[in-house]
Amino acid sequence: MFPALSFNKVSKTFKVRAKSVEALSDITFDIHEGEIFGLVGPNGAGKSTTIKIALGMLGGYTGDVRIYGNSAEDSNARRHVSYVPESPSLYEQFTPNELLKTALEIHKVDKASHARLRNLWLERLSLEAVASKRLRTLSKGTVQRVALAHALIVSPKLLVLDEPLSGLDPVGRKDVIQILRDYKQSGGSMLLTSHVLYDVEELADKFGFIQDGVLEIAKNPNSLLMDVAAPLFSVRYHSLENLTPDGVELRAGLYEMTVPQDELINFLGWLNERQGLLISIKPFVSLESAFLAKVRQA
Amino acid sequence: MMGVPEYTVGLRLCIRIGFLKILAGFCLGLAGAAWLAGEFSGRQPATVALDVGLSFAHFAILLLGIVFAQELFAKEFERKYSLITLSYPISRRRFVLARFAAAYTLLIGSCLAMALSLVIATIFVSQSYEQARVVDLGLPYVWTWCLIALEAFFVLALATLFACVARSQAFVLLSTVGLFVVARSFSAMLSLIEMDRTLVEQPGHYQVGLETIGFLLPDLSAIDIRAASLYASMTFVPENWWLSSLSVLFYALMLLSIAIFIVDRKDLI
Repeated sequence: MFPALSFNKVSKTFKVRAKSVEALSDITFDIHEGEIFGLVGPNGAGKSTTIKIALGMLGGYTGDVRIYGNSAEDSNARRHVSYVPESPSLYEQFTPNELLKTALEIHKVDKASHARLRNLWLERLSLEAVASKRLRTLSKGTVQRVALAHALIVSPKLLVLDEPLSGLDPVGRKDVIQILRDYKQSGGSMLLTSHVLYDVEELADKFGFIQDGVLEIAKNPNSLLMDVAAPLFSVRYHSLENLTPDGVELRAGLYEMTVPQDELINFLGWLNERQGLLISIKPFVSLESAFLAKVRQA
Repeated sequence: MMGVPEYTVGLRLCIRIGFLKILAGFCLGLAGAAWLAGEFSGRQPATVALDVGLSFAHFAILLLGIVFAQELFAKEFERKYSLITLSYPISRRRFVLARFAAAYTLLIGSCLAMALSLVIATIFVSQSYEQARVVDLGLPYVWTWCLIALEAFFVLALATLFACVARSQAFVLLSTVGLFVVARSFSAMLSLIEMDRTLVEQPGHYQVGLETIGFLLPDLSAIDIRAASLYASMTFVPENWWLSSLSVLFYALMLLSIAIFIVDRKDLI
C-alpha cells in the first residue's frame, strides 16, 4: 500500500538575485491513507513550496516525491487529488455552477451524477443563492467556499489545502472545519498548511513544523515541546505589590510569571504564603522557540 | 476535441470576454469599410470593396488572435489561475494544445463570418456598377480565406508564445503586432530595394538585414493571394504561394512547440 503522498529527501533551491536560497532542505515525510498532516510554520518557511512540488508546479528539486506511488511530476498522479490554494484565484467570468461542472469533467466523474453532486455541494457550502452569479461579483469568503466545493466535489483521495482558514470569519471557519472533519471521517487524506498552529491542531493526526526549509515531524505539537525542554507554565496572580522581580505587571495588581513544571508546586506554596491570589495557570507554548531548539539539537 | 474539458474551458473563456459582440462589430466594420471604399471607386467598386475588406480582415484576425492568447495564457499565469488549472490531472502539453485549439476554432469561425459579410458587401456594391473585369467570389475567394486562416494559425502561435513568457499583457500585443508587421512587409521592402537601388543609402546593408529576417520569420505577404479573387486571374498571385504556405505552417508549428516547451518547464511561484 503506497502512502497518499511521500516526500523523500527533497531539497529545493531558488535563485534570488544571483544568490542561492535553500527553500527546502532534505524534507522527508509520508501521509498515509486517511491521515491528516498539518504543516505549520511562519510565512516564507517553505509550506507553499512543499505543496507546489507535491502538485508538480515546481521542478528542479532533488529527491523523490510520490502520490500513491506515482511520480508527482506525472500529471496522471493527480487524478484523485484536489487543491485549494491560499486566496484562491478562480475564473471570475465563471459561475460557481460552471466551475464545479469543469472540475467534474476534468476529473472524469460519471456524467450521470454531475447534477446531483453539484446540488449537494452547493447546498453543503450554502452557495445555492449564488450558483449562477459570476465569481467576480462574490465576496472573498464566498469565493473561498466555492474553491472548497470545487475541490471536494470530485471526492478526492488526497486533499491539499494551503492556509484554508485564513480570511474566513468565525462562522465560516466553523463551517469549513466541520466540512474538513467530515472529509476526514470519510477516510480522505489531507495535507494542510497554516502559519497558525491552532488552525491545524483541531484536524491533524500528525504535525510537521517547518522553518527555513527544515522540517520536524511530531505526533502532536506538545511532543515536540516535551522533547526540547522541560514544559513551562504561565501563572497569573493578583497581588497588592510585586512579589518578585520576575513577575510582569500586566495591569494594576495583575502579574504574570513563567514557571518551569518542576518548580510549579513550590511556587504556588510561596504565592499562598504571601497572600497572592491565583488567577490562572496555562501551559506556556512557544512553538517557534521549541522548534528552533530542536533544529539546533539536530 | 469538444469532449476535452480544457478545450471547452478555453472556448468559454474566449466567449466570456465578449467575443460574439467583438465579432459582430468586426463583421459590421468590415462590411461598412468595404461598402464605403466601393462607393469611392468610380470604375472598380467591387474590386476596391473586396480589397479593403480583405485588408480589414487581416487586421481583425490579428487582433482577435492576440486577445485570445492574452485571455487563455497570459492572464492564466498573471492572475495565478494556473495554480488550480495546472493542479488538474492533465499534462501541460494538453493544456496548451486544448486552449490553442479552442482559440483557433473561434478564429476559424470568425474567418467564416467575415468572409460571408464581405461577400454580401461586395455583391451589394457590385450591383451599382458593372465592372469590365468582375471579381471572382468562387474558388479563388475560398482559397484566399483558407490562407487567411493559415495566417491566423501563425498569428495565434506567435501570440501564444509571447503570452506564455510575458509578464505583462501589453508585451503580447506589442510584440505580436510588431513581428506581424515585419513578416507582412519585409519581402515587399526587399523587392523595392532590388528594383531601385537608389532608394536608400547602402542598399546592400539593408538587403542583408532584410534577408536575415527572412530566415527568422515566414513571408506572410507571399500567402496573400487576394489578387486571384480581385482580378479573377492568377497573374498577380505571388509565385510559389503554396511553398510559402508550407513555410508559414512550419514556423507556426515551431512557435507552438516552443510555447509548449516553455509552459512544460515553467515554475509556478
